[in-house]
Parts: sequence; structure tokens; C-alpha cells
Amino acid sequence: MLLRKQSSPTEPVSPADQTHPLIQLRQVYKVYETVAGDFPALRDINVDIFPGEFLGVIGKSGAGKSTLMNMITGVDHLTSGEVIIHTDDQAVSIHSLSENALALWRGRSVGVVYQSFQLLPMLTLVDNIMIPMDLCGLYGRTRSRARALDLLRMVELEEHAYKLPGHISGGQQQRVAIARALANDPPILIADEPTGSLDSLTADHVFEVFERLINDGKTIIMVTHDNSLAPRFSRHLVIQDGEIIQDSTPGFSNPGGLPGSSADILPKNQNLPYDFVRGN
Amino acid sequence: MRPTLSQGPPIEAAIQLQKVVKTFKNAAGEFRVLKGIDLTMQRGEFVAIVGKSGSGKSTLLNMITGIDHPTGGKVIINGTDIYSMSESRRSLWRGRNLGIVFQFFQLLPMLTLRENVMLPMDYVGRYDFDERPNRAMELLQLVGLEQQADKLPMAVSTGQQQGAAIARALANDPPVIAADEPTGNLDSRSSEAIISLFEHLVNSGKTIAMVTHDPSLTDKTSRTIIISDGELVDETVARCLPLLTHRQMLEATRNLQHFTHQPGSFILRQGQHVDYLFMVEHGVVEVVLCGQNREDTRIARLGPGQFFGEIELVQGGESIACIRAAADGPVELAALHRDPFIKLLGDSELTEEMIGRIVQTRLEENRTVSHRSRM
Repeated sequence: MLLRKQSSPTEPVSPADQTHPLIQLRQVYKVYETVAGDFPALRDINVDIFPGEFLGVIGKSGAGKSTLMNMITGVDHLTSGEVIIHTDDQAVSIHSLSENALALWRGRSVGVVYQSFQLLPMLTLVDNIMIPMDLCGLYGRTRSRARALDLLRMVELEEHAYKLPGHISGGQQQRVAIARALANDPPILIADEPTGSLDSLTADHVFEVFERLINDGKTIIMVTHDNSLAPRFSRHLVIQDGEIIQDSTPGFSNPGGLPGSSADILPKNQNLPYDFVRGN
Repeated sequence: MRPTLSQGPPIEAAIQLQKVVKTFKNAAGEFRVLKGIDLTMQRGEFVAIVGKSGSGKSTLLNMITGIDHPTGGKVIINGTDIYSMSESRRSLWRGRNLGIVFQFFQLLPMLTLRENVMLPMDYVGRYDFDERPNRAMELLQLVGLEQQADKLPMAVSTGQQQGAAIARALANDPPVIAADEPTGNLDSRSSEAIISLFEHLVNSGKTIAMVTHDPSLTDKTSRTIIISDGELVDETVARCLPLLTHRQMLEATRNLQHFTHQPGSFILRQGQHVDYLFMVEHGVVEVVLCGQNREDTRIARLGPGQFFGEIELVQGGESIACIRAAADGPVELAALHRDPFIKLLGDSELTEEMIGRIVQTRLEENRTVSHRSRM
């Protein structure tokens, strides 16, 4: 299969590699200024996310989980702190990038799946999947099409390739959206309530696709309000009032020294605070 | 379709629907959403498509955009039979010829406004690669968003998102724009901005078909089409009897008969028994008191959207005047027979009141005129 070829067999992808974080959030604060005063949406968030994790971020509406996602994708600015992402053997502090550089980085490194699918209704499925490839220019036109068809095959929708989104079911649309998110083969997939509009059976189908992707070496961060989904993740965080109040990782402790690749960004031996209350 | 009486050379229609049928199937059986729609929109028209929720108005628009497919019939846009081609070819054709504006904008959230506007250009390839960013910027200027070009959709207001969506719809300079509730998600100020933008586009030659449930928008359009229960309401009925419910208008539509009269010919003679409410579709009719010894006296000229015959139907009498087609052109009439008309008056108190007032006013006018003509 398409994606299996891309993950090298020498790389241990499952269980998650817990020594070299892929994403690091450091003292991330996000404060919205409103007429009623400052509203802290995120307060001192410190998390390491490791390659191959299927991480659930669970919280009620307004808890700050979508804001947290926006910090990782860089579509919203943080008030203070840092988000460091390690891809292609590089550590990138994404909020220090220019808008253009960030857009380019995002296009290649992060695929996003939304609750409402966000497919363009006037384009066929295959054309929808080709959009990110056209924008990033990683593949030529012919290869883009072939790759889009491969991705559709992966989500078992190849036979519908030339249909419009309105002609397939919601669950099928979400699988197309996942295929689109994978268009530029990003290492990270972010899904914001991807099953929120789906019945449980079609939601299961989406989870199956995610589980396959995890086996293929992707890292997935999924936001949900539904805490009954917790067992489906390899790890989950609970967020409340802008703070992480629970991390399912047992005995998870301060990693101490940081991997070399980020040494040029973070001061050595920085004592990283993990303020969350571990589940009890 | 009945022949139109427009003068001058025939203009090629922008949009033509011929006997369009759309049937949905579900577990409960088949459901006919569109029941044989015939509709022509000319170039440069700004057409509102209105109807209650579930009337079929969005389905009708989707037949034009190709987002949904008809079960039967034809859709011809700028001379192209759009369902005679494959989905992929239609997608490409649509990219060049049709701009679509959605209620929920449908901008891609990970792309800046400018990138969103460039998408259709990348897809169709009408403009050179190097030209696209500038063209996108010009379009964003047109909608007043040049300052926001490099922002993501979530960083701007919903009104601005819709502005960007319109800029995107214009990316390949399509002659036709289809908009589905474009102001449905906007506050009134943003709505006004969007509508004046549409007026500007129509003035520059675009054809716009817009679905809306907001009656205040229909003041701004050049034409309003009402759909009820999957059928179009006759536009003359809607103009003449605006206080009927859509369903009552449809009932009237189903009972209509159409008559054509040559210039100067008599439609009704004084004293003749009247069996119809006559509504003027095209042309002008003259209401004349035929003098026995003297000259005829013209009381009124009635144009499209006006009607006659109501006095006689309400009072049960014979025609109190002569009606004839004006000398300068033929007249097309939509006629509603006495029985359905009286039934509608019984069903619609508002219409009964309106007709009552008109009858009173006209009778007074007649008395004044005939009194004067006898002097």
C-alpha cells in the first residue's frame, strides 16, 4: 500500500517512540482580548507529543482544545511560549516563522481534518485531493492525479473518484477529507472532531483509517468532546479551562535532557514544568 | 415554452432549464423534488429564486451548478448542454463558466484568502501562472479585502469570508454566478454590501441566479422566481396577486390559461359576460368606455402585473367597459377562471381585501369618467 512503502521498516513506529518528541509545546499561553477583559484560553501548556502517537485531546466545548490545535497548526498566534516541531531532522519553532514560511511549512508537514469535512462541493473527489498538491508543488500534475487516486484507494473510495462530494455519504466525505489531508504526505495529522457529524458506525470506519495510518507511522492528534472515545487513543489528554488536567501516560515524567536536534532552540537542561494533575 | 414577445434580435439565454425533473429515493419511496421545471434566464438578469424551506429552491440551483444532477430534462447554460458531458469535463467547464457562492462560504480554512481566490485559476489554467497572484489581489480589491489577502479565513469576519468567496467565484471571470443563500449567514450590513456587489456585477454584464428566503433581497433583483412544492409559480400570478401564499399561487398557476391578442384587437366588449380574471403578462391593454353616439373614452392603460375582470367576477355582472390590446403591440394574458379565482378569494382574506379595495377604486373612477363623458 502507498503509505506502507513510505515508512521505513527500521524505524520503530509502534508503540510510540517516547525519546524524541515530534511536537513540543512550551509554556504556551493564549489570551483573547474581549470587551469584558482578557480571556485566557490556554494557560501554561507544556506537552511533548511523540512520533506514532494517536493522541486524543478531550475537553468540553470552550475548554481550549480547538485553540490548542490552532497553536499546533499555527493558524492562530500564541500570546507567549513556543511550539517546536521536529520534522525532516529540523526543529522548527513555528510561531517564529513568517506567515509565508509558516503556510509552506504547514502545507507539507500537517494535514488537517475538520468536523464539517470542508470539501469543495463543486470539485470531484479526486480534484479535491489534488488541491494541496497543486498548492505545494511537490508533485507534477500527472503524479498528483495518480497519488490522489492512490489515496482514494487507501480510504476505499476509488470507485467514487469522479463524483462530487454531495453524491456520497457524510462518512465517505470524511474519508475523502482524510485522503486530502494526506495529500502531501505530512508526518502529522490533526483532526478536529472528525467523527462529530457521523453516526457511530461510520465513525468506526474513520477510526479504522486512523489506526491504519498510525501503523504506517503517522502521528495523529484528534480533538473531541466525547470522553467515551478515550480508550481508542494510544494516549489522551484532558483539557479544562485552558489547562491540561490529565495525561493518560502512566508515570510520565520530566524527560530532563532534550534531544540534540532541539538544542539550538531550547536552552540545555531547561527544567520543563509539567503542571498537569496526573489522573487519580 | 410559450413564445416571448421581446422586440429586437433574440438574445441567447444565459440559463435554460427544460422539463427538469429531480427525484430522490429513500426508504419511504420516491420523492419528486422538481416536477418538470421550464425556466429561461436572459443575460444580465439578476434573478432571485425564492421558496419555503423544502420547496426545492436549492435543488433547482444545484441543477444549474451541476452539484446535483437532474433525473430528467436538460440544463443549457450559455449554449452548452451541461449534462451531456462527464463529471470531470463538467467540473472543468464549470470552473470556466460558473462562479458559485455558498451560504457557508466554503473557503478552505488552511489557505489564505488570496490562495482561496487563486484555487479556481490553478484548476482551470485560464490565466498564466505568474498572473494569478495579481489577479487574485485585484479581485480581493473589488470586494474591499486587499488588506486581508494574506489572512486565513478564520481571522476575518463572516461578511469578509463571503466577500472572499465571491472573489473566488469571479476568479475565472465566469459569465454566470449561482449563489445559494449568500447572505443567509450574515448580518444586515454585510448582506447589503454583498447585494450591492452583486448589483455591480450585473451592471457589468454578469447573470446572477440567487436562492434566498429573504424577501427584502428580492427588491434588489430584476426578477423573482417563486418555487413551491417543486413547481414554478407563474411570474404574472406572483406579481398580480402577491398576497397569496406560495401554495395558493401555485394553485392559480395550475389553473391558468394563456391568451394572445393582436395589436388593437378587442379582448372584451362592453356588456359581454366575463368568466376570467385577466392578468397582463406582456404588452398593454386599454380600458375604454365605448360611446354609443360619441367618441370612445379611454379610462385606463394596464401593463404587465395589472389585471382586469375582477369587478365583474366579484359582482357577477357583465363587462362594464371595452378592453382592447393597445395599438403598438400584441398582448399576452394569463387568465384565471371564475371558479378557482373565487375559491382563492375565499382562502386568502388578504387577497379578498386587496381585490375589494381595487374594485371600489375602479368603480369610482368609472363613475367619474362616465359622468364627465355624458356632460
